[in-house]
Amino acid sequence: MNTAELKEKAKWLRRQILQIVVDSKRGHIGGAFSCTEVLIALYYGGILRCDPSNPNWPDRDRFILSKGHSCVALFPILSDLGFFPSSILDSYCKNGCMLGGHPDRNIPGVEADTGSLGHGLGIAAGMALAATIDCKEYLTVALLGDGECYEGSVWESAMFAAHHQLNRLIAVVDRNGQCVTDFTESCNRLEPFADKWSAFGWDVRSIDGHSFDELLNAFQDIRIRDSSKPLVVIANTVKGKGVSFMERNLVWHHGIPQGEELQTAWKELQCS
Amino acid sequence: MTATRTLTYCQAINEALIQEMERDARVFIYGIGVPDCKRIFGSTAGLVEKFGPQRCFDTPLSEDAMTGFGLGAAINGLRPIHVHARVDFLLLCMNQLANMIASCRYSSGGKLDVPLVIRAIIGRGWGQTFQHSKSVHSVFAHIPGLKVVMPTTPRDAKGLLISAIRDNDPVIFIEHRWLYYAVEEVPEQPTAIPLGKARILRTGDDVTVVGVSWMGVEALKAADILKARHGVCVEVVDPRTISPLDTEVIARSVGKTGHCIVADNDWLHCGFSAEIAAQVSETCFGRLKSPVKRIGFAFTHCPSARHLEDRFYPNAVDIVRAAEEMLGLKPTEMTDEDMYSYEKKFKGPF
Repeated sequence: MNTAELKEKAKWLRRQILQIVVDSKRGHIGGAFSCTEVLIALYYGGILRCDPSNPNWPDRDRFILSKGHSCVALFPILSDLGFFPSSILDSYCKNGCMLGGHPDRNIPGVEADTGSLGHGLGIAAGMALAATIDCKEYLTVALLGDGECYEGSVWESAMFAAHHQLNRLIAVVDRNGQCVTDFTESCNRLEPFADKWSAFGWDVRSIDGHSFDELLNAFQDIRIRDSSKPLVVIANTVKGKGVSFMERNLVWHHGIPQGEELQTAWKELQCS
Repeated sequence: MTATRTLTYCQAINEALIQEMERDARVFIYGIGVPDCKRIFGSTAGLVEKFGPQRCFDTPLSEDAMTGFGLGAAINGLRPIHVHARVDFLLLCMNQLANMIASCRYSSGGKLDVPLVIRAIIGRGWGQTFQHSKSVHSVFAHIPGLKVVMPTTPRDAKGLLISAIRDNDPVIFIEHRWLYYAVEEVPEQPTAIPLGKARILRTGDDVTVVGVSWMGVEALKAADILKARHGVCVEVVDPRTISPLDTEVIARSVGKTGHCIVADNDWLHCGFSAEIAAQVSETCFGRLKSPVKRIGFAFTHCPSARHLEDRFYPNAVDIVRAAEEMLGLKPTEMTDEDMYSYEKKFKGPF
């Protein structure tokens, strides 16, 4: 897809997210909106290789949504690509359904059970190491939350990946500046964030995580990078992006818009 | 005379926190969500307004480090209270807990006090599934140097939390979220209830049920059914503190009834219920009229689907059936009984 098409797809995804959250009265909407462009770029921008008709294709790229609570943004994509029928989206978080509030491996296209924060990068590092040992070409991409980076295990994994020169491992951090209860720089300062990754032995690219030009530019050479280091893409984003009253508003980590709020949200997502 | 009025379990915890923080400026509280809009289900309401952000503050998702921080503060004269909205998150801190905090007094030759309270919330919503539904109290109680408290009633929640805060050793204070709505008369004054003392929630002569945390409520329900349907009088014992454990009260009860059911809020295998069974067999061997029966979670991971979750958790029906089997009674029909559920929570009073 070209940039204009990707933008349309991002609008579609935000509307899907809102619909699912409103219908199910469940879901972490703020973080789903902040990582929308990242997911669209990865899945529709020619970055990730996957085969929905064969989800376990051995040479597929591995994608791990380490910030598993944002799965309401991932599920419509997996469905749209053909991993499972779109009718299943209607059962999100309902009793007995396949799609819960966090991703798990029973869902076609999902590589790891996630939601317990701080674990995705370690799992991704293990997958990337397995690729090296098995002489496989696939990429492993993990999408982390910035609040998730408070977990020490993220940095233990970062050190391990750099030490083992896992240069086919890519971490993308959804740097929306907020964690569940606060702004990250008030809760526990993360900056200088890029310098931290760099000091841990990673190549670092810091971009606007809502700009497809910058996202595609950051990802374009990831199969042919001339570096022995793993790569982190710090995607600077806005939590709640796309709905004005949700943007940078701590209340909307999770929450279900109703009444006038819902009307405003629909209006803004139709127009944006 | 001590004035009492009715409080919920949640209000009782909140009152204990406020009174202890007023009494002792060294007490402070921290953890993920402690001062946020939900205030740990309301239990930390008003604290940041009353005591300020220095004594009531949020933390990052750095559970292990924040536990080490609690230890450092405690051995330097402060009295921290660390809160985990789910006990599952406390498992991230096991190194600090088991290797550092529990052994601190021992390794310092008795010189260091560790007056640290760790509040951890357990229990069900529905659909909480396997990473948000554990209890694992026996894991903590297994480790010498950690005290483990599991209050069932509002009065005990307040009195035991006061004792935990005043204790000079680390205390894990475990609260079941379904108990948060239960009410009981609670003294207004900050009245400490000693750790390590069980409470008889109901007296009876025929069967002893040791009910842990929420299962104490299910045991009371089962006791009502057994009395009404079979005329059986159940004695319900609430251990309240599982480490140190009041074996004397349990042994006295089982010695009287000759029958013991342990209704635990956890898995059975290597669990607290096994400890009770062992203690009862050691202390009441000649007086037991039947083998000790244990009731707890199914030995698998908590499912998310409602009907499977209902099978995973034990309730009063399981206790009634165990008692009937023990006493050789014909199983009673219970379909008309209204059992507790996510929608129909126990509101008390005790």
